[in-house]
Amino acid sequence: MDGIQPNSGSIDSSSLENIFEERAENLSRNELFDWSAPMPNDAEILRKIKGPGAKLLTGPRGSGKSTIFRRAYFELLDSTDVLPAYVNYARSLALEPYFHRRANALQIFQQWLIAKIIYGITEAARALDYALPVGLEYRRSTAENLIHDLETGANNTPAMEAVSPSQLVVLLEEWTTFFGRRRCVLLLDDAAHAFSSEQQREFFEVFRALKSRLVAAKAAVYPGVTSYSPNFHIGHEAELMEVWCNPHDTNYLAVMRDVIARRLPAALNAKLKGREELIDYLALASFGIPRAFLNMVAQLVGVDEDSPSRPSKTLADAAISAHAQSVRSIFVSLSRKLPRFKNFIDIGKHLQAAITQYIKEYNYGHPTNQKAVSVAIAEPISPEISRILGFMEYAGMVRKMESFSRGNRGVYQRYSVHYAILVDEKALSLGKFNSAQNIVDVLTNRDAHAIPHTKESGLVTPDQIAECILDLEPCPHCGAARASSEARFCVRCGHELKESSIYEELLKSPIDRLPLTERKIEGLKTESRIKTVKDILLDEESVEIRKVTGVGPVWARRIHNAAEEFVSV
Amino acid sequence: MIGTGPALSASPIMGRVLLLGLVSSAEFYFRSILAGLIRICPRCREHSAKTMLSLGAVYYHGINGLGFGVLEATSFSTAGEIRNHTQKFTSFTIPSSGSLAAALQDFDRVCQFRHASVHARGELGAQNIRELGLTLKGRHSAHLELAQWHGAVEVTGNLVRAYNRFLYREVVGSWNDKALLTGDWRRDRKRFQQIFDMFYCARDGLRPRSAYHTYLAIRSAIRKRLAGAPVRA
Repeated sequence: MDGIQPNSGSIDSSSLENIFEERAENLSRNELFDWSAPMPNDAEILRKIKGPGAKLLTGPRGSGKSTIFRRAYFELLDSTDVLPAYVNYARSLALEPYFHRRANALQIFQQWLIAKIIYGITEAARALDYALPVGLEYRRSTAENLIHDLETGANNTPAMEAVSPSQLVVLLEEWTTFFGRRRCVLLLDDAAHAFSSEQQREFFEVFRALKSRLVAAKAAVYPGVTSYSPNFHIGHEAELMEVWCNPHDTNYLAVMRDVIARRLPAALNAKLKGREELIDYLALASFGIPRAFLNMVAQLVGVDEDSPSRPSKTLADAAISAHAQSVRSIFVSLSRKLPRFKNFIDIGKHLQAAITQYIKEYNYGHPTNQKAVSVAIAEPISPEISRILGFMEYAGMVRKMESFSRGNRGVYQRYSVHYAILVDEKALSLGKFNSAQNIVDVLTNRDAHAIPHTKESGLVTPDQIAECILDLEPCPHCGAARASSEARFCVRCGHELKESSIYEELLKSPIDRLPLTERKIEGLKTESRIKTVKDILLDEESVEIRKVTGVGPVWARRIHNAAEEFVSV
Repeated sequence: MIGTGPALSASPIMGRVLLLGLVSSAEFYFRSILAGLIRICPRCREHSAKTMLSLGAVYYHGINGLGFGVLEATSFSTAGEIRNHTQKFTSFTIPSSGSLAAALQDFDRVCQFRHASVHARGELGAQNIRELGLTLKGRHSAHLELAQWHGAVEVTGNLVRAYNRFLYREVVGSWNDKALLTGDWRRDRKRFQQIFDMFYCARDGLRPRSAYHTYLAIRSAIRKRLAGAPVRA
């Protein structure tokens, strides 16, 4: 096993904050290139992302979609023939209240989508030191105001001359030619809008229109929860590409070690000397998600201000356990972002436990080189369970692998379970042989055919499936149950059935709901005035957050990221 | 109870009849509000002064119902008609973009189905298809299930609310511009109470819930005018 090559240089708290910055969109250009290790398939994916034609990049949170887009953006800036624009739509949930208040919410949303693209073009031009043509300078200013006002919930709809998608394509072609480039590539990140079907449909209608001989759009979406507009056909309208580093790949550990080698300064790498198996252990537990890997390594090497310093298996297990809990929390949080599916999420918790238990029981009777990490579920799978499995894919709890046929015995869908969850719930059934190195050996030297097979009925009962109904609030006026999910008025008293804004509910949420340690949450509650998610977002300079004992720049950034992710897709 | 899911599924006629009633109610709202403005708003009265009215309508509606007399034969079942009559009787122009414009567009679609229901037993004609922006071929009939019926009601309710808000703001704004409001509640009370009673929806019950508190919300605009700040065009 190769040792980790240490990086050189001293560290201070602000650079430390960036070293463990998990979100690619918050890294500078140099940091992104210096610290990102190329994953398998990256070269091919990057080539297609930078090339012509519409593309969709799919992968769960933290899988590297933004890293790919940001790399493509910077590489295209350096090219002389392509004008790129990087646009991040993570704040789309902030526009959700408009769908409760405005008849023209869809038009407002469309203009926000387009304004972000216009702004992205001007940012690229500025990065290239290009002077903006007069028309674009004016559009930049109005786009910037529109974006700001909409994302902060302005009551009066800001004015911007409405631009249709087809008009935008014409403008993009003009600007591309003006700047002396041959093509324009739009990199639309966090484009899932996963929690609003109206926003999803509208986005894909706009996305469909953003193509011409000179213009090509690429979008990053999540698996399991992305539904496309009726006119949007995957494969035909856009090529779908998956970005998720497969922990089964032979190069996987080498790639992950490279990530650490690039990121960690010498002082932190020195802590890991002689304990490299812990890096491999965390790499596998991260299940191919670089962001999770960095998070766990940060805990292991004691970047957290209140952590002990020497890496150990105990610390690694704690990091893995915390990460497993964080993955489960993302899944559970879906019941707040998609309140109608609360019952599905509740049954999903049972499903996850049942799948893990099934794997555990299988592994109990099998030797170390035949441990299973996946389960095969016979088709047909009910729509309810399929929906839950889609949510689990979004949260990263499972990864859908290729289906396979067993001839007369039918076709099976295969799902691999997040390794952190398998380790945390001791589903590998290793007994006392659970050193980090043993676990690494088990996970890297498995028999790929070791997969327990089951049916849906082996994981959930019919009663549990029957509980998977949409959770609809009763009439607030007379208490009558809703006639259906489509009912907008009570069929008993005629009162309007208003739905509260998901975004506003998320903002009001107490900080207990964030994936932070109990200690940090308690600290925020007792040592600061932070009580809700909104309080964190308003504390832009982290003045209140930094009052908490043990919260320095790294934790402050992490708390902000947790709050931003909580209210975004 | 009519308009339930099973009732609508069982009878296509039920949905069409309900649609007629819905649009008819909306038309009655537009007639009521404009008739009311003709009665209490000096500017609207002046603007519509040249409109001709039959003697029969005068006898039937009486002096306080002249607005209804003028509007009784007027249709408000398309976006164009609503825009035109609003302009004609009040001088106010509905903007071509924004929430009200979007609500009008949605209502227009509902009216296409209503038109088909009234004139063709629910069968959509080529004109309806074109106005709805559809690319269907062959003959198609409208059949409202619960989702579509509730959607139509929601669209109509949105339009009425948006139009109500728009007209209220325009009327109060124009009264301020014309110095019909003095800034003194005791002197403005009678006139403002009429406007409040006409526009306020007790069912929605939004705050402020009294004419006085609503008046307080506009008093700063009145004082600005009195202080010599530029008035609206």
